Amino acid sequence: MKKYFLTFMNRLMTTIVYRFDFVCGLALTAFNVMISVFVWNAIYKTSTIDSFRGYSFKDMVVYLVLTNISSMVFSFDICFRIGNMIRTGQFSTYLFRPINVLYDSFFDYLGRCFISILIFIGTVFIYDLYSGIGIFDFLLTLSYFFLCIFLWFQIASIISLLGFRVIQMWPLKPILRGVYMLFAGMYFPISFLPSGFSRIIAYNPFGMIGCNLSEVVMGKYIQSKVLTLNIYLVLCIIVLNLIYRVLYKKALKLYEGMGA
Amino acid sequence: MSKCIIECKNVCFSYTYFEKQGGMCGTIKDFFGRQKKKITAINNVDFMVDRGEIVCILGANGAGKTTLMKLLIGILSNEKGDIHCNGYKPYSKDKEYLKSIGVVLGQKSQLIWDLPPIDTLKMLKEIYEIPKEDFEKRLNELVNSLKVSEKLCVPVRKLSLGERVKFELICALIHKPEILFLDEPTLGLDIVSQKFMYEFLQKINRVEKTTILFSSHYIQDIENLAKRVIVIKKGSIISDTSLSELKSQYTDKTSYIVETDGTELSMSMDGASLIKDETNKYRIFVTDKEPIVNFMNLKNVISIHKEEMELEDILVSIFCKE
Amino acid sequence: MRFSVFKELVKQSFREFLIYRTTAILTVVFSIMFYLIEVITGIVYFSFTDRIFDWTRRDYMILITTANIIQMGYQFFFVASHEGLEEAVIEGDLDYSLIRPVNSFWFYAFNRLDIPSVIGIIVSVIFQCYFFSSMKLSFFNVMMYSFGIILGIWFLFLVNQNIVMLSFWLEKSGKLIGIPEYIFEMVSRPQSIYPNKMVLILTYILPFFVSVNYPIDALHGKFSLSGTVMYILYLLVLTFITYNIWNKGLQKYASSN
Repeated sequence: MKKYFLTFMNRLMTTIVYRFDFVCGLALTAFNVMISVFVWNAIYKTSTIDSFRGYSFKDMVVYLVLTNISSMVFSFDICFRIGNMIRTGQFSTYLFRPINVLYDSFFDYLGRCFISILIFIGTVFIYDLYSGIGIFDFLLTLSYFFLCIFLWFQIASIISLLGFRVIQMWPLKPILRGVYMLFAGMYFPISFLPSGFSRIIAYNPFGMIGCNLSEVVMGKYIQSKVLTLNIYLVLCIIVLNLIYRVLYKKALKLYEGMGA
Repeated sequence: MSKCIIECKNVCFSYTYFEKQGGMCGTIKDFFGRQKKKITAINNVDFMVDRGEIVCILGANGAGKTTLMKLLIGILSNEKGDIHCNGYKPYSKDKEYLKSIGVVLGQKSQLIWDLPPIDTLKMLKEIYEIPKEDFEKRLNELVNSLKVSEKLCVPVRKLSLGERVKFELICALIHKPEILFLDEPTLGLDIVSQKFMYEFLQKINRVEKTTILFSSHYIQDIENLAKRVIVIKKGSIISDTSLSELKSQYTDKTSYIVETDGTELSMSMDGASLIKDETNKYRIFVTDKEPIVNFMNLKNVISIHKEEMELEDILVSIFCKE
Repeated sequence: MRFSVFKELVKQSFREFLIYRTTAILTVVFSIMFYLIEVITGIVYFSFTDRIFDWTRRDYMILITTANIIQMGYQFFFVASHEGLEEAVIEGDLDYSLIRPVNSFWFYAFNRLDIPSVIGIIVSVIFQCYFFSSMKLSFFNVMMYSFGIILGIWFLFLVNQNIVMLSFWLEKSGKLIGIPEYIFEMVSRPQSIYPNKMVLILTYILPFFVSVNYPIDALHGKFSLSGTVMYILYLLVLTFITYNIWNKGLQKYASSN
C-alpha cells in the first residue's frame, strides 16, 4: 500500500510545484461560470417567467458554481496519462514491476485532484452552513461525492484503454470535454433538455457526477432518493469495474511496447 | 577555401535553473518562492578544427559536451566569445550554413515516429532543396551502405534502435553536408552496429572529405574514430591533442594499485593523483620515476602492483582528477 | 517557407491521418457532436425566450456556427503545432526544427494539419448554408463573410501562438493554453449579454468579438471600410509582434537533455 501512497504524494507534490497550472485552472473554471451566468442572466431578464423547472436565477448560479467546481475533480487528464505511457512504451514498467495499473492510476488520480476535492468539500460545507442543512444530509452528500470519485475513475480508466488502440489521444481531449459538458449538465441542468431526451440521459454516469451531484448538494432530492442514488452509484461502479477488467485483458494483447 | 572550418574563441555559456527543496514542507515553501541559480556549462573554450578532420569531444556526463555541440550547431547562443563554423556564426542560422551541416543528436530523434523513414527523408529533400535525381541517387547510396534499404517503408516505431540510428544518420547526410555533428551517436548500440557505424563514418570522411565532430564518452568510439581528442571537463577544455599523444602523455605516468588493511591511504608526493577504487584498494598515478614507497606509510599496506595504462584508465584519471 | 515544403507537410499530415484511423474517425464523430451540443444548447436557451436581448434564434445559430467554423479552421491549420510546442520546449525537442534551412516560425506553425477537422468545417458550413437559405445574400457579402472567417482564423492563431510561446519563459504553462479557447467560447455568445467594459476590451484591445462578429457584419453588409482596414492593420502588427517574440523565445530556448 505504501508504494501507492507514494504515487499519491508524488502526484500531489507535482501539482503543487506546477502552481501556475493549478491557479490558471481555477481562474478558467471561474471564467466558465461567469460566461454561463451572463447567458442565464440575459435569458432570465428577457423571459417573462421567474423560475424555470424549479430553478430561480439564484439557484441557477449556485448550480453552475457547483457543477464547474466538481468538473475540476472529474478531469480527463487521467485518460491521457495511460495513453501517453502506451505511446512512449513507458507502460512496460507496469508489466514488469509488481504494481497494479488500476491502483496506481487511482492514487495518481487522487493526488492530481486532491486540492480540487478539498475545494469542493469546502464549498459544500459553506453552502450547507449558509442554507441550514443538517449534518446527516451533509454526510450523505459527501458519501455521494466520494462514490462519484470512484465512478469517475472507472469511467476514465475505461476511456484510457482507448490508448491501446488509438495512437494519438490528444485530439479526443476537447471532444470528451464537450460530451461531458452536455451529459453532465455544465451549461444547464439535464432537466432543461426536452423531456423525452432528459428522461433517457438523466441517470447517465456523466449526469450522476455533474448535474445530479449539484442537485444533491442543493437539497433538490429527499434523503431516500439520495440513498437510492448512492446504491445506484455502487452498482454502476461494480459494473464498470467488470467491464474495465474484460476490456483491459483484451487491450493488453494489442500492446507492443516500443521499437522492435 | 580556408583550411580551418570551425573556430571557437573564449566561448562561454551558462544555464539558469531552479533549486527545489525536498519533502512536503519544501514543496509548499517552493510554492511561494523559488530560488534561481546559474550554472556555467561552457567556460572560455578555445579551439579550431580543420577541414576533413575527425574530432572527438570527450567528457564525463555533464561536462558540457552536448552544450558545446549545440553552440556549434546554432541551437544555443553563446554569451561571450566568438564561434565561426564554415565562415558563418552558427546562431545567425544562415540558410547556407544550415545546408552545410548535418546533425545527429543521440538522445533525440528527427524521424517522424508513426511514419516510415522515407516520409521524413522526402520532407528533408524539400527542406534542403535537393533535386529529385540527386536525392534518389544519394538515398540509394546511403541505404545500401548502411544495409537498411528494405526498412525504408517500415514505420519508425517498428524499427530496432540500431536501424533507427542508421536512419538518423541518413537524415543527417542526405544533403551531403560539409560538417557532420554527432552527439553521442552510438548511445545504446550493440557492438556490431557500433563497428558498422565506425566503418561507415570513416568512409564518409575519406571519400566525401566530411569534417566530423562527435561527442562521446565511449572508449570504443574514440579508439575507432577519433584522430584528435578534445577533453572537456566542467565546461573547460583540459586537453586538445591527438589520440596517440594523449596516450603517450598519460603513459608517461606510472599507475599503481595499492591495497591496504582498511586504513585510509595517505601519501605526499608532488604530481601524484590518488583514486580510491574499492574499499581497500587505491589507484595512484605518478609522473616521478622515484619509487612511491618512499612517500607512503607502508605499515598498513598489504600489496602494491604496478600496471600498464589502458585508454580507459587514462580517461578515468582525467575525469576523476580534481 | 517554400510552397513545396508546405506541400510535403500536408502530405505527411494526410499519411498520419490515414495511420491514426481510429483517432481520425473518433475525432470526426465527436467534432460533429461538439457542434451539435452548441446547437442543442442554443435550442434550450431559446425554449425559455424568443429573443436574448436583440438576438433571435437564427442570429444566435449563425453566430455559433461562424465561431465553430473559425475554431475548426484554426484547429485544421495550427492546433497540432500548438499542442506540441509547450512539451517540445521543455523536452528540448525543438532542436531539429531550428537547424533546418527554412523559416522556423512558419515551419513550426504549419508543421501539421489536423485533417479530421475538415469534416467539422464541412458540417458547420452545411448548417450555415441552411441558416443562410432564408436570407437574401449577395455574392459579395458571402465573399466578405469568407474573408472575415480567414481573418478570424488568423487572429485565433496569433493569440494562441503568443500564449504557447510563453512556455519559452514559463515552466509548465499548460493551463494558459486554454485561455484563448475559453475567451473564444465567451465571444461565441451574443455580445449584448456582457457588460460594456468587457465588450470594449474584447473589441478594441483584444478583438475577439470582432473576429467572430466581423464575418457576420460583413454578411449583413454592415461593415465599414475604416473598420476593416483597422482590423487588418491590427492583425499585421500582431503578426509582426508575434514573429519577433518567436525569435526572442528561440534565444531563450535552452534545450534540455
